[in-house]
Amino acid sequence: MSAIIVALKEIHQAVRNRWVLAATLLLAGLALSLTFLGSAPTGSVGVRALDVVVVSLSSLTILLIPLIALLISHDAIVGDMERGTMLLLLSYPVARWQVLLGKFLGHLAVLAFATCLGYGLAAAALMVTGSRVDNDSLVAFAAMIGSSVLLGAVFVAIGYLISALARDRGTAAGVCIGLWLLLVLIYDMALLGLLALDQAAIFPPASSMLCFCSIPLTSIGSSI
Amino acid sequence: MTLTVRVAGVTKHYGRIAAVTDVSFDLAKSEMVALIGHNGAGKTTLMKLMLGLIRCTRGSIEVLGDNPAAGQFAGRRHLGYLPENVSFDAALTGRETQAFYARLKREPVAKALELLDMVGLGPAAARRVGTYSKGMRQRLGLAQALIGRPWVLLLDEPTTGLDPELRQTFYEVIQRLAAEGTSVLLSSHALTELEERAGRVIIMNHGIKVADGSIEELRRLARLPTKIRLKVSGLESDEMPAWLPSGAPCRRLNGHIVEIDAAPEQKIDLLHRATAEGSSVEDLDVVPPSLDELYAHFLKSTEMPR
Repeated sequence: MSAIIVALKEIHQAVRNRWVLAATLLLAGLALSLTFLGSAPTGSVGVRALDVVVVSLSSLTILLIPLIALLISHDAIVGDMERGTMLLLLSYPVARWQVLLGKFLGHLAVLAFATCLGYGLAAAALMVTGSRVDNDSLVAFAAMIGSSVLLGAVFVAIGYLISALARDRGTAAGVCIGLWLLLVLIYDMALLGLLALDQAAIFPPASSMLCFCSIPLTSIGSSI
Repeated sequence: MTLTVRVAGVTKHYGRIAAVTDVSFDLAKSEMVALIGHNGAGKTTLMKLMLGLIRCTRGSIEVLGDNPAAGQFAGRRHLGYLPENVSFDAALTGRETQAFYARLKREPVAKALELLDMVGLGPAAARRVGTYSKGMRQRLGLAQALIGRPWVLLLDEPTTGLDPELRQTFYEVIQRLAAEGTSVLLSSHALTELEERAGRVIIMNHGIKVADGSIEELRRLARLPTKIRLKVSGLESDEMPAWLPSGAPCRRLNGHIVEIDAAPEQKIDLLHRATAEGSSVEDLDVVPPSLDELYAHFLKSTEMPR
């Protein structure tokens, strides 16, 4: 119950700080532009339009959701410690795990709201403009949103870990950006490069390491 | 006498630094205790220990029947805490902040909001905390500490940043709560303020408790001289009254006032002499040693053996 109170306050704060608005607008804007620009080459015939959107949005998810999640979460512990609000909060009848769980639920709710609304707008726009959408595509689209939120949850948790370990807010922010670059961009590129070089399959683990690569992971998750 | 807080033989080390060494004291219901000591004397550490925010290296603490370090926090519903340099989330308004803390304590929100008016935040309650001045944040800090009729109040430098009028209201509120049975422990630098109000004083120095008792008890222990100030007519500029016993430490203050340092057992005798045989004393003031002087005395007496 205490966790819910903390979660509601986090959501309230995120709305007030316009985090919700910013994240939703960013995701909606990019999703809408991907939907209409991305479908231009395929035209309105052939491949089902929503499936194209699912594929292009999953790339967007991989880049952006971890970044938004880390931006929201990196400040959660070290920031409150630095501002002194954590000291007062912990003097209340609330356990430390409840504070953390509450923050997690609140931040995840913000992220889920932004994702559902932002991506949902793209799907809705597609339907309004008259594209035919069948059930399979809708299921794939829902799975893509679900896995996006899950990916967000993972990175919110990673953000908390960094926030708990870092000594000040600046360090936490720097480590988070570094980690984002590493996990989202460098790891994928390095692995793809390795696979390309490794045509002769001299290095068998490379293909299995693909499992830890975020790009295929989310794409697979959303196309099932 | 019912105890609300029991601190027994508590030692806290931060790495190699000893913040608090072997401190013991109890707080009883309705007691108002001042915790004084300069910065780094261990006041804040003691409060954090009592809140269970940190664990003591040795010793035991009990607050309202709970051991705070063991993660028991049922008692915290009846505990009010005002940290030094209190701060709040800047994005929320004063009213939203107060409501949030009331919910965490499972107290009715409407009643908690009334406290905002009491500390004089009524008109500003709808504004964001980010726009508040230091004094207003302090008021909000007080308001949250008073949520839900606390049984124990821990106040770390509560009156810094408050204007004199609010300071007065603050002490009235605290004294009313104490009269109703709340134990109040407050740390402060404003010793003169505490002098008339605190029933008991605990003096800390370098993490060691150097004195503990009512002001009268501390005065007796310290054996500091009482100052007797006399306005004497018809004295030359460097002359002392003839009835003064020789060797009594005395001095002239701005012209015609004579100040005598009277040891506790000489005090009455000196007063007899001053007022006897139609001496030329026109006015008389007796100034007992202030809390400031007592504090300085106890600090000095503990530093001497080192």
